[in-house]
Amino acid sequence: MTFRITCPVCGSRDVYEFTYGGHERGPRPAQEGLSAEEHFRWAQFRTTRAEAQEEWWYHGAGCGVWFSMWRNPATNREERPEPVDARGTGPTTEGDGE
Amino acid sequence: MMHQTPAHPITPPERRSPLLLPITPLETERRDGWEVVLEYEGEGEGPWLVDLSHRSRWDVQDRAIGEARPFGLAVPEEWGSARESDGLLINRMNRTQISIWHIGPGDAPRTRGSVDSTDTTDSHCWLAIVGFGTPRVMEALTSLDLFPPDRAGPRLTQGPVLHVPAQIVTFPDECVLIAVARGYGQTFAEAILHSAADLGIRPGGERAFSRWRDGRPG
Amino acid sequence: MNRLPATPTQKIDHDRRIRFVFAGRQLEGLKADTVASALWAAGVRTWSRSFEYHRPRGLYDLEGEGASGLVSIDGVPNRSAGTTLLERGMTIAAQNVSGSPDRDVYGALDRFDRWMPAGFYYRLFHRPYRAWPFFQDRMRALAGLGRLDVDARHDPGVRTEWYMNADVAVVGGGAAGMSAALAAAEHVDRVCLFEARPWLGGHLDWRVREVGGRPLRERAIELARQVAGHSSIRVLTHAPVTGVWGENLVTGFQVGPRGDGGATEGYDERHWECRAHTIVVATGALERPLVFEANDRPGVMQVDTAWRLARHYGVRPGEQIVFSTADDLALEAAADLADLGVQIVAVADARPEGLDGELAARLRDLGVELMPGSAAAAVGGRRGVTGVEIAPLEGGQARSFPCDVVVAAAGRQPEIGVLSSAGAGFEYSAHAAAFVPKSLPDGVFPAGRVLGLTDVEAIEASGVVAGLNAATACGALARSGSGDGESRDADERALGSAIRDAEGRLAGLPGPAAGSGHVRGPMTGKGRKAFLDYDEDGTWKNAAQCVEQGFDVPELAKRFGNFGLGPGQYRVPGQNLAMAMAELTGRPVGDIQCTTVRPPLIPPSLATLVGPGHDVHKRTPLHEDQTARGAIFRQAGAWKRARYFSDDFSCREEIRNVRENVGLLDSSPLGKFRVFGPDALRALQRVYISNMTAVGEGRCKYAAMCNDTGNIIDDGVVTRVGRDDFYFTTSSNRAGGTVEWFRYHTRYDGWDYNLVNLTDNLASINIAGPNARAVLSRVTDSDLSGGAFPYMGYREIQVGDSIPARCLRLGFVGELSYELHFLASYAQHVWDLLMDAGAEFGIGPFGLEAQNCMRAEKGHIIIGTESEQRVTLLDIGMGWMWDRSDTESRKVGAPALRACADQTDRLKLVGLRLDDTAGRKSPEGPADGALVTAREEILGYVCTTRYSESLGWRYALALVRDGRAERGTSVELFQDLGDGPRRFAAMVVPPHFYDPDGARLRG
Repeated sequence: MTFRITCPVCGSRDVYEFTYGGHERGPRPAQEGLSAEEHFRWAQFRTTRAEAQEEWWYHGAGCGVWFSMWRNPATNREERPEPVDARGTGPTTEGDGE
Repeated sequence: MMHQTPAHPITPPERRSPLLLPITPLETERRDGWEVVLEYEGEGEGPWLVDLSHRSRWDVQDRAIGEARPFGLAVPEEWGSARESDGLLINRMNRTQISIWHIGPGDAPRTRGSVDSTDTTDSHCWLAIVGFGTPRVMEALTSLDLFPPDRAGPRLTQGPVLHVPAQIVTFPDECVLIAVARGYGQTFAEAILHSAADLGIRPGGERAFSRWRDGRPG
Repeated sequence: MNRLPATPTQKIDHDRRIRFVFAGRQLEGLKADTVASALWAAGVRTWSRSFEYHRPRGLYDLEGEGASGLVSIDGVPNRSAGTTLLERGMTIAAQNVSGSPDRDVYGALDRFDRWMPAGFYYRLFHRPYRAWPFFQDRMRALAGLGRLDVDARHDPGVRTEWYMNADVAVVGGGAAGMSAALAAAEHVDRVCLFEARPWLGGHLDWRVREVGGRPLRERAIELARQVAGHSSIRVLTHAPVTGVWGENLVTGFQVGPRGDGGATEGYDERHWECRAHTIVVATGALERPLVFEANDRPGVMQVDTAWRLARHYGVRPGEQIVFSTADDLALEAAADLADLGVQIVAVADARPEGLDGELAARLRDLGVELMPGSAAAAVGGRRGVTGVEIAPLEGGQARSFPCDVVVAAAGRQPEIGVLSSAGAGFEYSAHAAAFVPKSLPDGVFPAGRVLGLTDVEAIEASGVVAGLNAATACGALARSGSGDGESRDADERALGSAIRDAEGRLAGLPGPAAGSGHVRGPMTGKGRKAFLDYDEDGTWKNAAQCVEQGFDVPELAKRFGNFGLGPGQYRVPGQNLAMAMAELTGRPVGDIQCTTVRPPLIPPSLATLVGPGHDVHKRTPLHEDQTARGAIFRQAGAWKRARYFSDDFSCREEIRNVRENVGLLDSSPLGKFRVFGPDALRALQRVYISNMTAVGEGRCKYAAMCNDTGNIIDDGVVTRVGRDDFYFTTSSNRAGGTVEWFRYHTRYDGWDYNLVNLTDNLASINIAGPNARAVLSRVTDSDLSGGAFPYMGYREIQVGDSIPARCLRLGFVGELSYELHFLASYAQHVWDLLMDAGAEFGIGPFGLEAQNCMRAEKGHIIIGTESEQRVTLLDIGMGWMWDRSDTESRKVGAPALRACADQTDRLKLVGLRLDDTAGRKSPEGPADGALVTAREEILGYVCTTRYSESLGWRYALALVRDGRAERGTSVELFQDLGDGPRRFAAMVVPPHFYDPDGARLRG
């Protein structure tokens, strides 16, 4: 199995250069009054659908940037031609992520 | 301040490169404590692997890096582009980060302007592969597409070389600069020499790099 | 030697003889022979014995299609005789043979086939269960292919790798492939052409038949010349494709000069990968074997085998040859062989009509008897062929022909391996009697005989169409021209019209010729020795048994009857399997799917897959020095680290010197980071569970990170070096993941902070022991006194004359100690300064194991050793680090810690003191991982246990179920390392054994 991921900084690269950060599930919830159930639902629950989903990927072997993009895990193809821009990802180290 | 080359001590203490190439040096030079090999015995016709680890490098990060003027120099706009200016190579890594590499003939600058930078000279093993056949050597080391036909000028690529994350700057005319984490230096360089042995690669002194640098047209 | 006179089609050099050994006999071949052509020329007929029945096998094909042609060369088993070039001094041995290839001890197994029906081992030997190993051992001894001598050491030679990027990759260097490459290269810059044979030309290479007034081979030479001279085309010959993977990654290997005739320069074999935008597949056609009784006898061979033996290697295939074939190419081969002076006795053609009239007339002129509508039913002869029975397929009298070679084929089948591995689908064409491509993945374009085409001009024209389409699909239209709209439109029009022209030309040329749908000759009986699959001795009768058992489609019969599971993969039985299933079940072939082809399509050698085998790892800047001091290194994450400094792995001396005196540790792999910027503190507050606002000036704050389930994942110290500027350390194994972790957990916040990984930038040396201060004060002017620089203090100092260093006063090993962080290039210089300064104290290096023993007896944990997935920060007794009051920062891990804070019956970290008599000498104690039990109930396990010279007893750090082992109670440690169960008595104690008050590290 091999496929390509389009990094917003580096362009199309081999998937082995990236780490998967799970599908998009929104920002970390506020902790005041947060129940354990709510926390674990946010932190642990994953939907696994054979359709396009928004996912987070980290280009660890490259530019060291987290970005989100739409991909269909059934085909491993990106569903949107334009990659979603890096969101909230600040500067990083020089890509020597080891 | 840390991470800065000490300001002209009387006898600079010895600094060591992360790698030792298994060939007898023919001519060396002492530079700020570094023992720089200018030429090796029997260097041959190239391509050469040259250790540039002793040359200065900086990491600069800023939310508004596009407007920053590190060393008084303009930062390239496009991610992945690199610009050569006053002996410095400025590589645009992403939205907020650049690396600056000293490739020039003179001394590296000691004042860095208003930006907050980190001296990363000791962070990397920095190598040049230079000479005829360089693109083919790179094809033995990485699946990255480093020489697409429609690209001109120096380009920065961040990706794996021999499975090690690297910053790579390619020039169209037979020179590639590679920076990897310092710890990999020795085994990484040995693996390059071994991987591309059938392509004739050999260790070269710093002059092999300077000859290329100074011999370029324009 | 049995050679024909030299002709221009031959590859061999008649003047250069090469000596080699087969089965103990000295033989001779010629330069450029393959092992197969040399053996056949030398008169060797039986090369090996078959997988199951030990039947004699020999030359069937020259393309490496199956197990029949496998031999052992210089001790390396399973090498393909047909594709391996002969080298001087090769020692070639037969495979699966006891005795000699001609007189095999187990040859009699052939008569016991009725006790070995399809799938017999699945059905017979599983009961009783305990009997299986007995049968398995015996069957393994009898069945098989080559044997690997596991004690032998083979020089792998030079194995390299080559990664290419291409616009268009063309697989196959025949007429279609070369035409495609040339057409594509007019529009794109990078075309790669891969050919499995050592030369280009495909099936035109040796054909002298004239088409359009010119011999076909001259057309091949012309195309090859154009391809080689085109600056946009890279040609790799002797480079079989092993598979096509996601998004058009083509992989294969290439035989190099050292592996190809024994040159001393270059490489033996290299693995290559080509990332292409689009792919042209022009892999041509294979022969579809004809099934009849004893069709595996040495002497029964493919059409191209006989033809190429004569045309490429100048070897006379046989003295008297009978053909039983089914296409015009075979008629051409028979006529060509006859022209070369080879005696062709008769040609049976399964097609009753539609034979090429010109070739038929030519054969009759040459005195060859032509028998349309007939095929071979059986061959005679025990070790070789002595004759063949030919009979009409529609019924009638069989006739016997004496001969020594039978050239047999049921037809041609498109070589669909590459297309199938790329994800193409196939359908049966009743006209061509073959499976042809039906659905194609994006960017894949077939051309030539793989489409079923047979006309040489159509084959070439289809290549042009595929090449132009491939260039278009990879963006040639977007790229060609200088960019201005007008010239781009012109280019677009030009390419569009070129494609229309090429398609028009192809449409005017003949399509696929009619094929014969027969699989079998007119044989009588059940087909006990009529082989569908030579590799695993799969007969027609076995196929019928599969159907009887309900395994009646190719993918099922493949597994149950082992059809196509051997080295030939799908090539043998190929499309015959689907056609046989149709015939045996009475269904139309069109209703049946052929099997999916799986990579590697051609088996590469394991040495090539291993490649150059580099051990690229990290070394500290003190690696050389540590080596010279006798360090024994172990891999730790990306690093090689000095674990021991003597062969006493209990590290008694190293520990004693630190505890009583002073030692130096190279701790350079420690993760080291700079984080700065207006939001740096907020980022630290997010990822650290501790209160990071409390990092004081000149102080080290010990802090931990948790994940979202509350597991501790990292610990280290944080210092503040400027207003919004922090310096922190992580454990060595977390260094690589730290930036990723920070950024991930702040990715929605838009904070302005920067991270720099200084792990490799800075060396780290730990100086530890009661004399640490005395030694360090000799290399720095800074005030190191306890009052000026207390425990957990942080100072920036100068070492030697001018080297700036960060100095952290920590105590991981439980002694007075300082950690110096400074530029890595100075590491040797600083190390030497410290060693010189400490010489009068007897300073010495210590390694990771000594550090491990000392930190454990101090009760300092290592994450991943004393913690695991089930264990939270609270469980290891470090809950004091958690800033419970802070919900504002949304700390990673805080909700989980809150959720489990009051849970009971969790694994908790405890100390154990082992009974003195059991623990006196280290080999007597339990190992790390021993179970902690009480009354035969498992309570937990031992994380780290050592015998401590400092304490005088053996201690253990263990994770034990909460509330089940109170302090002072007795437990038992249990282990069974394969030498029988052993038990050790222990008592639960607090997990701080050495200097529990910390007087030594604060001193």
